[in-house]
Order: sequence, then structure tokens, then C-alpha cells
Amino acid sequence: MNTLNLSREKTRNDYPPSLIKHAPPVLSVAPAPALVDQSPIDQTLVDQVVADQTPADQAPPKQVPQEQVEHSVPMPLYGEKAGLISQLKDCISSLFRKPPKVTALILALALSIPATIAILSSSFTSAEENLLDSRHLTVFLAPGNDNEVSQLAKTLAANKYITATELRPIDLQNKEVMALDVHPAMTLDKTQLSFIINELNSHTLVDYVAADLTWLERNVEAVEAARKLRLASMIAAGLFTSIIVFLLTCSDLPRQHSELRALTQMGASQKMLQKPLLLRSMLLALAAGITGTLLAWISIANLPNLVEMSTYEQILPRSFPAASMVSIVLLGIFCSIMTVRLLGKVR
Amino acid sequence: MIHLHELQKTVGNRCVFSDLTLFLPKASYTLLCGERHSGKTTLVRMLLAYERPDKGTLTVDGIDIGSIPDSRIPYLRRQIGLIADTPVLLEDRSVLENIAVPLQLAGFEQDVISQRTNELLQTTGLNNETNTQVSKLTDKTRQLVSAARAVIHKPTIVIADEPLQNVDKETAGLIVSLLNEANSSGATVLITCQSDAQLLHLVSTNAKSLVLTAGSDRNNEYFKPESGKNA
Repeated sequence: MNTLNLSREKTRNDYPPSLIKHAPPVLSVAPAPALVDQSPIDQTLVDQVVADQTPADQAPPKQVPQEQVEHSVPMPLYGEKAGLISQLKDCISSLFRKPPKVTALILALALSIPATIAILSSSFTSAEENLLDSRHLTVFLAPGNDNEVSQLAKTLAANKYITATELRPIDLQNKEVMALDVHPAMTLDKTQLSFIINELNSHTLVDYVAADLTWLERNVEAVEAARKLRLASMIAAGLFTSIIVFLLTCSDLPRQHSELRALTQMGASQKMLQKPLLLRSMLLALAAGITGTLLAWISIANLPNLVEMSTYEQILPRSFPAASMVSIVLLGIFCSIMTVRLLGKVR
Repeated sequence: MIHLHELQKTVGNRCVFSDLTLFLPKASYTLLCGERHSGKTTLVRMLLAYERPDKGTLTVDGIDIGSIPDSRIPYLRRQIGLIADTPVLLEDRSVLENIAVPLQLAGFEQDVISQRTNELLQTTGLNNETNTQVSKLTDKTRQLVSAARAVIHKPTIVIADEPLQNVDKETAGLIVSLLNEANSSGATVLITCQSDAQLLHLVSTNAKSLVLTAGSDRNNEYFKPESGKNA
């Protein structure tokens, strides 16, 4: 059982004077040798020596006049009067403080890896498009009037097994010949392609149909492979990003926890806690996402050309992968929200 | 005011309070002394609603801690200023920003915040450290910042849990003078300590010292609230 001992109720008067702050010091001073002579000691001189030898810590403190300096208090960052602009400014300035600056740099370097993968996945998309584009039959046309040629092109384009047609002139042994590039659908097998070729060959306007059935079959496999690679690289980029953001968020947890504890102790509500944390995390994710993606884009664009650009120029990226950046930032925001929800329950 | 009535609290397997009754009237100044593990910090945590009593009632300024909803706890804490034994500050903020936070949370106007903050910086002698990041301060200065932050918004209750650890005499004097001033403005002040020897010559003359001991089988003394003072 706990007790409160009333008998020890004390006041200031219960303490001996020696412990009271302003009690006079007790000093004993021997007369200085110069004063020791046959004549009686002059008490006045002794008192003067005592006064001169008063220790510094018992002398009254010197009053140093302090200058009245008015310090400008920054706009509130917490509480209901905290404005969004002042919080944003504070979040931006916090990115340049030492720990967040390092955090942002590490995050940017780490995010450049999934950003690179994401950029490569867009390259696989380009490769897929090129492979689809190379999937065609070249139909060499016999000389005929333009109306008949355009009618043939329209008829072929309307066919459900033909995805596109393209009419173009070809220089064949110094002679201009019209040719029709016919793109058959991916779903057609070898038998169906053979049937289409035979039908075209029997047309009066068609002189010759150039088609490599073996290549057309392998083209389907190549397109499927490109699609799988694109999907795998997107998943890898997403996984990398999630792991990196999660690890970095955890590494920043102790600092955030300390800040939350201090604010909770002072009476900050859940809403007051979540808003600045969320803003800061989003800004950090945005800054790191942009920087990481830029780093990835610059590194890929400067890779040495090991193969002929004419063949593989479509593989290297040419456009800024806005979609990659958006996905990285969105993932960072998602991780931020989860962190805030986890930490928001601090009491 | 603070009123504890037949308070019981168990932490883990240890019974901290079995039957504690205490009344601290408004604007009282109390030194609560006790050895380690006597329940001082547990009592402070309960006053701030970090923990709730197992049995009995604990009323702080009319609010029953046992039944207060979680959503109202922040409002309670804004009425209380706390000086912890180990100061919990916003480490990457400056002294000025740390001290101003309670006023911001309470919704004061910017000019009032500016005025009070500057006054307190002047009083405590922290003028030279205004823009210093708190993480770079010494322990005694951190405790002084914590004390200033605890009283700046003129709370109704100020609690100091062993506030003079790791501070020198000068800082101790400043901290206690802040508490004295808060009490003279009408705040209820409660200081917990292991021994009141260091404090008695610094605190106001109206301060009362109580000793909290654990494990005794004597009945508690009951303080009648209508008397307005300890029995």
C-alpha cells in the first residue's frame, strides 16, 4: 500500500541556515604577515582584508545588461492555424537539412535501379511494336490504274484477318513498281496464311507475293517474348521500388518516432500529426523519384553503342519515361501513407 | 486541481498503487518525493492519460482520466505542461521553434506567439541559442528548453518529473523560477523528486512536500477537498 507521510511535511524554516541560499558565508582569515607586528592588530584592516578576499562565487553577480532582441517566430507548422504554404515551405527546407538531404540522395541512387528497369521495359514495348511492324507480306502489284489499286487496298483492309495495309512505291531495277504491305493478324496460323497468299496470287492486279512463312511464325514467338519481358521488368521495377522505399522509411522511423512522441506529449491530435508527415514523405518521394529517373535516363542514353544503331536504335529509349516516374512516386506516396497510419497510433 | 481517490494500478506483475488517495487543490505547489519504483513516474503518466487506473478515480481539472475518450486526450494534454526527466524535443528544430510549438498547438495568434516566445527567451537567457538546433545543445540547456516549452502557454497544471537531473545549479535555479512564476500565475505545480533537499531552498514558500512510499501497510491519509489544503 502506498502512503503519504504527513509527519515529514517540511517548509523552508525547517532547514538549517547553512543550507539556505542566502546565508552569510562563514570565513576565518588569518592576518597577513605584514600586519603581524608588535602593535595590536587593527581590526579595521582585518575587516578590509576579509572584504577583499570574498570568493568570487559569493560576490553578487554582475548585472550584464542584455540587449532586447526580437526574434522572428516562423509561421506555425502545427496546430489548426498551420497553413499549407508554410508547411510546404518547411517540408522543402527540411529536405536540405542534413539527414533528409542524405536520405534523399540515397533514395535517388537506390531508385535509379528500378527506374532503369522501368525504362528498359518501355524499350521492350518499342521492340514489340517493331516486331509487329515487321510482320507483313509484300504484295507486288502489276501496272494498273490508281482506282483499281486503291480498291484492292480497301478490300484487304476491310478483311478481319488483315490488321493494316500500306501502299508504297518501290524502285525495282530502275523501274518504279507499286507494292502493298499487308499486315496479317497475330492469330493466323501457317495454313491460314498460305490460303491468304494463294488468294492474293490469284488476283489480276497482283504480280507477286513475297512472304516468309517461317519468319511470320517466329515473329509471333518474338512478340510474345517481348511482352513477357516487358511484364517481368515492370514487376521487377515495382518490387525494387517497394523494397527500397520500405527500407528507407524504416531507417527514418526512429527520428519520426521521436518527433511524434514530442508532439503527442504536447497535445497534438492525429490530424496534426499526419499532415506534416505525409507532406514531407510525398515531397521526399517526388524529389527522389525525379532524381532517380533522371539518373537512369542519362545513364542509359550514354551507353556505348555495341551494335549498329540502324538495327537496334529502337531498343534504346528515346523518350522520357513519365509513366515510370509517376509509378515510382505513387508507390512512395502509398508507403508514406502506410507509415503514417502505423505511426499515427503513438500515444 | 488533481484528485486521486482509492487509486489502484498494476504494471506488469507489480502493484504500483493499491489504495492511493490525494488531493492537490488549484494553484497548489507540491513536491512529491519518493525513492525509485515508488510510483512517481507512473502517477505522472496517468495524469497525462498515457495510462489509465485499474480501479479508483483520477480526476484532472474535472476530467476523469479513467473514462476520457482517446479523441479528447490531446485537449487534456494541452492544458498540462510537462518537464520530463529526459527532455523530449523536436531534434531537427531550433530552440525558438521548439518553444513556440505549444502556443501553435493551442491556436494562439502569431503576434502573441512572437511576444511570449521572445519574453521567455529573455527570461531564461536562451537568446544566444535561439536558432541553434536542439540536437546540438548540452543536456542542461535541453532541459531548460523543455522547461520553457512547458510553461509558455500558461497551462493550468505544470508537472515536472525529476527535472533537475543533469543540470547545474544555475540552470536548476532558472527551471525552478519558471515553475515558481507559473504557480504565482495560478497554475497547479507538481514536482516529483527522489529527495527535496535540492529543491526546498529554490521553490516558493507555499510549497508543500509529500513523500510517496511503496509497500507500507498503513492506511492512507485522506485529504478533504473542502478544506482547500492538505490535512
